[in-house]
Amino acid sequence: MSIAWIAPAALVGLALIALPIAVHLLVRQHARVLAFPSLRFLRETQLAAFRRRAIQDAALLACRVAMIAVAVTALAGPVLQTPSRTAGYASRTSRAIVAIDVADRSLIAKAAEGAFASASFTRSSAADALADASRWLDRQAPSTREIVVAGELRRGAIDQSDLATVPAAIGIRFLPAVTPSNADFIMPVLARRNGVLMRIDRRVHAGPDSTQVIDGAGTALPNDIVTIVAKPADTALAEASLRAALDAGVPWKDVNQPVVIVWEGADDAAIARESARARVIRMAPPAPPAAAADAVRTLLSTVSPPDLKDPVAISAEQLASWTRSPGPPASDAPLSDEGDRRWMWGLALMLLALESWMRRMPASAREAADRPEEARVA
Amino acid sequence: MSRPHVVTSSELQSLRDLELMTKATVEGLRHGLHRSPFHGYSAEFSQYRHYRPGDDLKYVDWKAFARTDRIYTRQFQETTNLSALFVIDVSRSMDFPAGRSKFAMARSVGAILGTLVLDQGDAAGVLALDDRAHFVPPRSGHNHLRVFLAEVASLAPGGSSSIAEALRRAATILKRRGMVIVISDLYDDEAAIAEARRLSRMGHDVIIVHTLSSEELTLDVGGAAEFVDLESGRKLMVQPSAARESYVAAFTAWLSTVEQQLRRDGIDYLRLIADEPLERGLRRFLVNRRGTS
Repeated sequence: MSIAWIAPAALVGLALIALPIAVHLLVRQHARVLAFPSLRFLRETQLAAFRRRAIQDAALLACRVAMIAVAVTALAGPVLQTPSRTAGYASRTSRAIVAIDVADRSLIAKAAEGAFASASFTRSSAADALADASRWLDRQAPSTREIVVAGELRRGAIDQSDLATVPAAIGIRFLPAVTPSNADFIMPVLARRNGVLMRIDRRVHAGPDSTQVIDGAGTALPNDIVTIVAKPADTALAEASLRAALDAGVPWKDVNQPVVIVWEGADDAAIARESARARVIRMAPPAPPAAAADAVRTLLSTVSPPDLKDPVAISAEQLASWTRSPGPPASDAPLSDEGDRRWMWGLALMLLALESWMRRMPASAREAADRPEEARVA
Repeated sequence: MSRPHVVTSSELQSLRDLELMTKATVEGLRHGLHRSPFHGYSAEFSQYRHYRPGDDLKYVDWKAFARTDRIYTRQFQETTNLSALFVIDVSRSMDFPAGRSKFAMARSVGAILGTLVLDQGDAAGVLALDDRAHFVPPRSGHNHLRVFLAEVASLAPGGSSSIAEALRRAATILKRRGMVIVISDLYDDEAAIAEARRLSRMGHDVIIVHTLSSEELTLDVGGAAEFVDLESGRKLMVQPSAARESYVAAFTAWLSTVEQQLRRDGIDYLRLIADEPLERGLRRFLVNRRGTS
């Protein structure tokens, strides 16, 4: 059995014990004037020498020293490491829940059930969420630690490289939400049909063996939603590239925001004119010219991408292979207040009350208690 | 040698307090004593009066009791054979400790014993010396009790005269043998004891009531202090815890010497502590005195 400290730096405060000792040793007692019937039986005491040597009121000093020591100890937060308490550390779990595409918050509550401490992390990428979760677990009181990844676990949502950043002592579990069996989804596309720029809702069906893409209904849009500006020598190539890209179609969500692609070297006046009405995206003139259409299409596919998710869930086998049990509680885990310091505070308060009582009690009565019974005269 | 005295309201209040306290204590003492500790002698029958608890049974008229079934006490015309003079120390050293001082106790003792003396038909007077003499000559009678108590109540500590001087004065006042009750802390002990001895040898029954406080006995007065002598004004720096042992030894030896000297001279000695119950100490003393008489 040993004692660990929540804030061991506070033990520096034990130096404060020197204060009451110094006060009792050095402070000269105020010489009050006392009228007395007769001085014939009294002899003068060598008070100066006496005061330097003697501690005034040892019992009061002991009480004050004990009070400071106990209060400082309470501030340092002692935690008695009994075998039962150590076993208790291993039986409790701190749980960080990494939420990925969680539509139903009850899933997080379910994941947190039975945890000694829990927190959920929702980030734009799983890697960021896992890193934050690991850091949070490092700050938790002694306990086994685990990360629960909960939500719609589609392919690409999380992978081996994300999980590799989690320390080995932290366990990993997965809590996949039920994925809809119908894997169809709609992908909006910007495409030119018969010379007219259109927004087409393209239906994608992800089958077990193949993926089917069917163009749905289209909505005509103004042709100047996407334009391109280049220097006169490149104008023909630029417009041909844009035309080829739009003929193939690019994923596009926001049809209300015009976009203009500016190749370097374009006329500044033309750029200024276009920028007044559209969002300007600059790119270098592609080289070689044959790759210009692909370059423009790649660029456009990043301008207003629709919110798409992989329709296929990560397989149960894969999740099982990533799952691991938590290790034992970390020895350097920060200690939590297990309630031992409250006893110290209680003791400090009792000593404070005792000190207060002793201060009110006449010094002579305490001296008498310290000294043998004095001869009483009948 | 009586003098006109204007009683102030505070003196009147202290007289009332003294009367109340005296009445309560005297009643308590009388119930326990039955026989007077003070002796006077009577000569000529004067009248009967109803028996009161505390009356000496030797004055009960048993024949009258047989005739009437009532207990009567015989009273005599000449009942002032005992003449008691209370000499009370009013020096500054008596004004200690604050609150219930030795002087307050001395005044109470004087009032109680004086009332006892007057109640049994004897004469009581009081003498105290400060910057002037406070003197009420010993007289008997119920009316005199009020005068006696008023004088005792009007006394206040603060004089510089010694108790020895007062005793010297008493020796000249008392024309015939009587009782002298000295109430003092005896700090001028040598002169006071010499005068008491002289009075005793003159045939007076001398009682010394030595008044002390528990602080004087044990030096239980807290931490270091500059002690100031109440009478001389001399100052001394004293740490009580360091000085206590030698002080208590010297004080105890002095007390013992004083008591031995007085008892050797046949003088009754009663020591009273200011913060201890007064009635118990007085009762013990009076019972002992009655036993030895």
